[in-house]
Amino acid sequence: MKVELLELAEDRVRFLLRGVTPAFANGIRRACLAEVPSLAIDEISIYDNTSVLFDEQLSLRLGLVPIKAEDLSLYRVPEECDCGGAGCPACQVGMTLTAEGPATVHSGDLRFGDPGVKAAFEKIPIAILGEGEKLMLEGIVTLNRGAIHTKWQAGTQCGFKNLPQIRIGENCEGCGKCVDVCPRKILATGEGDGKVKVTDPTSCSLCKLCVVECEIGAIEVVPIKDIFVMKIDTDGSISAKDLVEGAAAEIKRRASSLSQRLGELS
Amino acid sequence: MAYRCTRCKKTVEVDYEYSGIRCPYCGHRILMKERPTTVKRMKAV
Repeated sequence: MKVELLELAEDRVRFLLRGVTPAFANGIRRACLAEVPSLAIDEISIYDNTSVLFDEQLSLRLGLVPIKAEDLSLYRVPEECDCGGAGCPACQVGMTLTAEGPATVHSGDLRFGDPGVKAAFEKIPIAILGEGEKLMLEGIVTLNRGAIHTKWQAGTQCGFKNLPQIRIGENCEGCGKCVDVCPRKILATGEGDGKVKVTDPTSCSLCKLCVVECEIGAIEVVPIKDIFVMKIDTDGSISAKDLVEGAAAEIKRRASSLSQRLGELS
Repeated sequence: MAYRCTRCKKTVEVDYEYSGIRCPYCGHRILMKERPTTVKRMKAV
């Protein structure tokens, strides 16, 4: 297996996986979605809520706020914690929210017990408070996996596709019809020999509009079976790099666990 | 169960034996249910 990085940002990564099966690529995708733990507000205690929002609407909005920690390794999933999930500083962080209108309550107004923990984005609107309306609540932030609930899902848009191979035939006349029809704008009229050139095959969506448009059949688009373009986006609670690393580590841990169990049987 | 009259703002105890809802102080028919003073705990989902 070979990995080739195409693009890396804080919340997004694109890379090529060569020499793997679709099942393996899908395993990485699914692990990014459901198996990498992240922080989210788990429970809330509402002391006062005179806003126009019902307590349930408020709790839903708070639960979906992505929360990031400076060092996520300090925390453990409650079920895997030494306290057995009863609640200790290793598996939960306290959170408070106090606001009085007129004001718009944002995710940046949440105050956490650990100074290293904060909302991933400061300006997520939670509630608009009118004159005299109050909001006072506290909550518990826990680490968990997307398989339990989508609020702990760090990976948002995780997908993959086969890398397309775009072959321009010798009979290409450079008419430019395929260039005009391409929605991703990855074809360009060629310089030199006058044929069409492919600028970025990783951006091709395999729509094959260029193939349909080319009347002389000079262009061919085929997916390469064992090369995949992986695209992973995060919700901001952890970096894209950490998400993919965590997904790979989780697959490795499970494979090791299976190997160990099989070893015990034989 | 405590209610509050939306007109005179007084706290009203509703008599469930009586067929109608009416503020005994001002006769207004719109009452609001007061928020309980207890802490409400819920899952953030």
